[in-house]
Amino acid sequence: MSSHNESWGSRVGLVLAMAGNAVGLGNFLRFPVQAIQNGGGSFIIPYLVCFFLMGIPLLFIEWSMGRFGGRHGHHSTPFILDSMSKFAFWKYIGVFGIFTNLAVAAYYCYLESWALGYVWHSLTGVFGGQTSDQVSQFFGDYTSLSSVQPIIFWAICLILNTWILSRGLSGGVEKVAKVGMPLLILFGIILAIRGISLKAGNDGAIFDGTEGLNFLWTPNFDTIWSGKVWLAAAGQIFFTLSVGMGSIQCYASYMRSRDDIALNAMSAGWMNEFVEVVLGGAIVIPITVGYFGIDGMTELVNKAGGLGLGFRTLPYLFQQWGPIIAVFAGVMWFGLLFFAGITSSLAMGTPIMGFMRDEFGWRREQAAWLFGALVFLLGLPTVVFFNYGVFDEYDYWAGTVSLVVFALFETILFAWVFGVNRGWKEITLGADIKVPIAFKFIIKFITPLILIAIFVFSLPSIIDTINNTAIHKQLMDSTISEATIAELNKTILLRNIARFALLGMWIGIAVLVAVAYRKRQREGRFTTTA
Amino acid sequence: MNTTALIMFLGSVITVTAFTVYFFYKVLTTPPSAKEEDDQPIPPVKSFDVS
Repeated sequence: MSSHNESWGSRVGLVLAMAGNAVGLGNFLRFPVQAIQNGGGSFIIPYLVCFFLMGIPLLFIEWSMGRFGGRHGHHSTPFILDSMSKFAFWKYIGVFGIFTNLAVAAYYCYLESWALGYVWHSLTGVFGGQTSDQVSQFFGDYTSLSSVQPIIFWAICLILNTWILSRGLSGGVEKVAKVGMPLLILFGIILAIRGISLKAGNDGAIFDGTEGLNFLWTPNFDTIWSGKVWLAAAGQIFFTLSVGMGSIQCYASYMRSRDDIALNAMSAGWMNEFVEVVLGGAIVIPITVGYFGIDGMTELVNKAGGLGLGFRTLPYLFQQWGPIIAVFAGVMWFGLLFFAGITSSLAMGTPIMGFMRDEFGWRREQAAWLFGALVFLLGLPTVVFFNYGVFDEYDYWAGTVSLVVFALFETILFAWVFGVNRGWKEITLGADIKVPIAFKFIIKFITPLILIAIFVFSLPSIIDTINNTAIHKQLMDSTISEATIAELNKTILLRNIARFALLGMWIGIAVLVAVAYRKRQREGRFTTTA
Repeated sequence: MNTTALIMFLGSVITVTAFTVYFFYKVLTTPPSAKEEDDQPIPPVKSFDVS
């Protein structure tokens, strides 16, 4: 039971909100690029294997941890984890479940605001008559803050997130999910059909849209034996499902104690896969290949990644469809990116709100404004120093490393400390589908092993990042100018400051957890039920 | 599209779409069962001003 009257209004709302939490910009911008770079059509094999062996188990684990914690009045991971073991340090592992959401939201809301801004630019015909270079340069100018517009849209986004969160789950988050997710899927289907049906010679296209599909889905079965490809597949499953963040536990903590987990989790998980595999793979690549060919698309991806394709390339390509359709296409494309973003950022706001309400009795509105203020303060460096890699630094530590670390710990807690037998009872309690017993074995042995493998294989990259190896390599180039050296040194300084800021944030949250624990002890509010 | 790409594409799309539709259809059509609240006592919680 909760100490405040927050709950989901409907089962469909919960599932759509959970799916919205998972569906993000990466479904449309990261997956297709990962697939192309890791074997094309054969990527789907390690991808789906990792979904079954890691993705679904982690969904089961996080949903059931959340519902378990919610039953005992805990709506954020520090005390959800604490309630599952008598060892005190687990609540500090739970700090990741608040830290990661805040740190990711700090830069994610900025991304989301780009999508919102580009909806406006599409509506107002900003890209009409522009060349490919001009459209690309527009994005460069935008992120370099050549005007105040990015800040305005960012502020609008933050206020919107804060206001929706202040309306609560059923009054705010669920309503956005019930409108945003169906629209996102509808826009995605329309754009996918448009992309796949492109014909060479029509609307300026040089190649058929199916050429891009052909390139994306032609399998290179040799890559199935590559560890790098399996690591990429596991990573993509990880990031696409938003596991390891703490937001799923938070959402699930507002369920009733015997509400189904198994069917809900499967529905939300597969909905994410539909958006990623079916829609995400059918928009950016077919459209880009239709106009630039495979070599041109590959060059663009290598230069600017999926984000570049989405913001630098597609607005130009939409113009080839005529001024009216370009507006619709731009609004739909950036509209779906915005819906994907906001349904995720709203989920990121709920853990800190749950924590402040549970532990310090804050009102919902106060807690929502706290989230907005924190995201603004923490996000400002990523906005102002975007071109110095502060954004990338947040993304790496919070959006990559932190997820893997937390997921590994929570899996060990669930399967080995809390115990897989108790865990299995939680998963199957109230289930509306029969969960295959094989998942019990997978959760206990396979999922932790995969997570350990991901972490171990990521260690060289972590060490390189700590040492700023890539930048130091550039500095060793004797041909670079003094100005470039100064810029690179400034980049190192700002990145290191960002790291300390993130570390400070983690420590700050841990201190809050310690204060909350002392408060619980004084008030006789026991936490562990283990 | 070449045959292998078409097989991979259609196989993946049909599989993912089928699972998605199946589970969401079940969510929509499974009637809410009368699930009694857990008998486990909830630990004492100090009441806050929770407007």
